[in-house]
Amino acid sequence: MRLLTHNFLASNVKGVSTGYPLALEVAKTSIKEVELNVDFLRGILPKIDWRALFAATSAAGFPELLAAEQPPEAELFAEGAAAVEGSAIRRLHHALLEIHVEEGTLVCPDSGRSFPILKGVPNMLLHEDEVRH
Amino acid sequence: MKLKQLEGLLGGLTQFSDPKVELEQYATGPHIASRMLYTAENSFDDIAGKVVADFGCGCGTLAVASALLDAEHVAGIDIDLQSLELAQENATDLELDIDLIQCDIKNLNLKGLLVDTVVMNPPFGTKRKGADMEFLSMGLKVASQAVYSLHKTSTREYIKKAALRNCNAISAEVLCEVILNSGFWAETMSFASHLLCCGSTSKRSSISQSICGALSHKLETKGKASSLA
Ligand SMILES: C[S@@+](CC[C@H](N)C(=O)[O-])C[C@H]1O[C@@H](n2cnc3c(N)ncnc32)[C@H](O)[C@@H]1O
Repeated sequence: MRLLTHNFLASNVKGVSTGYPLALEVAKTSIKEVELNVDFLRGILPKIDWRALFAATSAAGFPELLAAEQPPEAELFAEGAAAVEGSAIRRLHHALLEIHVEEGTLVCPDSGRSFPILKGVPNMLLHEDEVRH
Repeated sequence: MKLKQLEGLLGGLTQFSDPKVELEQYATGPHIASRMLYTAENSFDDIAGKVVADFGCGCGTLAVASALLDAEHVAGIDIDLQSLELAQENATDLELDIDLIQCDIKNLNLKGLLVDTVVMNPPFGTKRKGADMEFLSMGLKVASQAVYSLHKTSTREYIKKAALRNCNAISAEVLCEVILNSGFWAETMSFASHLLCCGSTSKRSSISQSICGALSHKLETKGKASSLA
């Protein structure tokens, strides 16, 4: 599971208000490199919950990868930044698309219900008595 | 990628070995799957560089097709772990990277506007009544751009009406019709999703304009889409 997926996934246990963001506990990660796409990052930035992403990168073992607050767009999308090792945009790309959580747990912030992640797949199935009707 | 190439690659995927009938597990054939995704990409720009979710991904045909057409991020969602494992295998064989989530679509809770496009071949509801509408309404809730979905032709008018009336779809258009091996007609319908929670108003109207643009464009290309099929 990429941290981009974590950024839109929420719990839906009966009675929770938002079920978001899910706290992340990580036992194992992997890194898979993909090509950086500036236009994609530009489009998705306003839709990202930066705090949730920051918390997730820290939980995944990369506490210094992102700034706690979102850097200004002028910095992220500065001409040529994508080619510079360690630039804010490269870090954002790495955080969203290259870090994969292989084993761990997602915890609902409202109910405390935990959802296991096994072989990269979060199990969000609910028990019958947890389903809203 | 050319249509034929896409169809060829999808034809090589491993299908359900022990399909669970109660979940309506049957693979989406390479013919219809390739045309569905090819049209979504080439007529409407809804795949490449986008975040795409495949609802009821099964062995992953539509998710894999999206990744082959350069979706930036693909999430396949299914209730059944064995299907997800198969989808993973199929993606890995083609060196594609897709995310998978085990979840019952009716209990799915996705936040924000991150998912652009939802593609699906939902259960038709022959085993559990209403399953197709559950998928469709969730798709329209989640997608900020469009939903592409396969339905039985016999349910066409009902589905269109329900999408427009109950699920806030802006439009519901039939893109093409294909005869499935099993003998009934199915079709790809495209739904431009509602944009209720979209950022600023000006942005919202520009997006709906672009959707209207896509729709009128779609009407022109409709003949082409059906002839593809
Ligand atoms: C017609 S198949 C889709 C096939 C898939 N497109 C493929 O090519 O393999 C329907 C899929 O929906 C899944 N499914 C059925 N009910 C579901 C539910 N309530 N939530 C999530 N997935 C479900 C089944 O496990 C099955 O894989």
